[in-house]
Amino acid sequence: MPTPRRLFQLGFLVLILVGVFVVEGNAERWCPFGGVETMYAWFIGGNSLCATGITNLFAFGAILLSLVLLRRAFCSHACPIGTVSEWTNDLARRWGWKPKRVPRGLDAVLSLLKYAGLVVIVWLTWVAAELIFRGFCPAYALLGRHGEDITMWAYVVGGGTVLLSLFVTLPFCRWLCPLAAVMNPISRFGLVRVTRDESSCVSCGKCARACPMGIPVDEAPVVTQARCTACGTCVDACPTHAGQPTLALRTAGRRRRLVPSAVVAGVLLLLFAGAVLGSMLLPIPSFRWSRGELPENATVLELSVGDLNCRGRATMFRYFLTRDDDLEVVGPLRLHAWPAPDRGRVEISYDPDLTDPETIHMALTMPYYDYDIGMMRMSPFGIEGYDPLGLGGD
Amino acid sequence: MSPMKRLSSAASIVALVLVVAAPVARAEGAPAPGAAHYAQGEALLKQGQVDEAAKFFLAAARAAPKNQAYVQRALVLRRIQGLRRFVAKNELSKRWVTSARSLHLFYVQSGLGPLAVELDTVAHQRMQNATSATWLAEAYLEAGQNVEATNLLATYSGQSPRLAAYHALALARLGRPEDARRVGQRAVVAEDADPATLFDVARLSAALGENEKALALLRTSFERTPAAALPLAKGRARASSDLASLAALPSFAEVLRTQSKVKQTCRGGSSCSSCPNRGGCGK
Repeated sequence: MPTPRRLFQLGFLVLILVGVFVVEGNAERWCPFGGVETMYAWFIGGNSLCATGITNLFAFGAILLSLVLLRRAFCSHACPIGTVSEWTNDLARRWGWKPKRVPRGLDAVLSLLKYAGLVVIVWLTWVAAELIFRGFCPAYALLGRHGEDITMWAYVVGGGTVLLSLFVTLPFCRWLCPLAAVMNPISRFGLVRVTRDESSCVSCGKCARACPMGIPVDEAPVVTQARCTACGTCVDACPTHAGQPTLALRTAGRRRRLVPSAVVAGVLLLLFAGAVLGSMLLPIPSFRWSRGELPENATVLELSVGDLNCRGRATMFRYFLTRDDDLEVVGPLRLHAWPAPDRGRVEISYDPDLTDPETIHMALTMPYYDYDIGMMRMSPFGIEGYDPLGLGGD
Repeated sequence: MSPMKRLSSAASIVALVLVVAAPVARAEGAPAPGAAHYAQGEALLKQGQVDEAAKFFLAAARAAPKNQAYVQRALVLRRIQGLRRFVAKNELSKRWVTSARSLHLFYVQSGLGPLAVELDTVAHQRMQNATSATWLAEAYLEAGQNVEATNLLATYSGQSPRLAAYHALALARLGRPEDARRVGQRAVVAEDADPATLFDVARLSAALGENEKALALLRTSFERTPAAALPLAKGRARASSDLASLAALPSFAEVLRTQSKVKQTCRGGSSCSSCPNRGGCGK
């Protein structure tokens, strides 16, 4: 009988794969690390970075909450890299390959890599205003639909993770994952902990040997290590289950209530559902810009725009909206954009006494002379329901 | 298998291949939809018949709406028609100047000298400044009206190196190399000169037989031209009669391979991987 965690892993991976490869959704929009990368740009400038949006911030928010409640349960339940890595290691065990135990000293040194990586990634991302890690991310290699942004390095890191997982448990999660570096300082204070009843413990050491993160579970009554993912593998490995379990997930504090693994999975599910619902109820634009004071009778023009898929495109959209030739859209303006793969959405607020939707449509779709480059720049945007040449096609 | 059956099988295969290949062969031989309209549009545009050309480009786009080249050409011509209407109907204003400038650049880059002269004469009457003089001088040179250019630039050529270069170029074309050299001395390009000025001074240098200087200026001009506009600039260099003396030189071909060194500002893209502004998107 599969455990609730295994069912969660399977269900979540299937959901992601179907979402990406069948529905052709964009997993990048929900990447929690994208939330980390875009945070600075979003809070300082009010606009998201590159192809990220408010959904990334909601996903990261859900993970922050899950850390406070369930420590790094996200890693052991939902992260596709964790799932693939763990299943690969399981497969190796079935083939009779025993995982190598990494010496503690080496493990500790290797664990520092992710912190160094995080500093470099965040710094480069904020300086370059581009999702630097995307080119190396094994999750993007898996879920990026082999897009042109995926570099060979992402496949190398992804392939290396799978290969290494045959011999070592969760190598990427332990040593390289930059999201883990963000999570660890918060995870340390998580509500749920693995606790050990020393009176009934037979000190067999099976729990420590089973821990995929290499935590010496048998050495302290409470696992306080930040890297604990609340996976429950140590609990399952413990041979003493008579009456009160020796090893169990419990809440911190005096009462130390038992936390069944189904509850962990259920809470995670609620948090992720909350993130999805939150992003739907609070559709905060990824790109915002305004000019002048809008009058009380300001009108909002909502458009579905083809090829409005990232911040760069939103900037270009603004460039056409603020053109200064005969198609100039005069008066105060406010642009809210939600770039999305294939087709984004915008809301343009304007003064109806000074301009009209036809002018806005023309400004956005007709070529514009770009003096910086000295040539006519074609608009890449196709507005749903607007056909400037009357061609009748899409 | 009997010989008859083998023959029959072979005949079936040949027939099948013919059935499959015939439409392909027909398709390869047939003109692409809209191609004739497109070619007609280009021919009319070369003659300066903008409105007629626009009709043919639109017909080409309607015949092949998936052909981006046709659609874009139709859109550009629609835009040019709009600009022409606006410039003709409106008085001098900031928008008028911007629109006239767009139209001027289109005419010059498309080799439509007479139309450019017509537009820029009106623009210069209204604006009466070095900018409008530059437009008109450029138009005169494009149209081969060198006498008119020298008359105009006698007043304005001291106002910028570019105007001095135009003046000298017009004089050189009129067979007055000494005057051209004298006026051309004012065409001193600054360290940070824009690519258009560099290009024009390169034309002057080539017209005066200073090939090495012309090539060096041309190279710097290309280096300072944004990557997106480089094909257009190189096309103009290839087509320029003033640079014809360079065309036979091996170093000219080398200069035409010059890459842009301009860091572009972000105006979007479907992917960061091929973005020329990689790393500067949020700035």
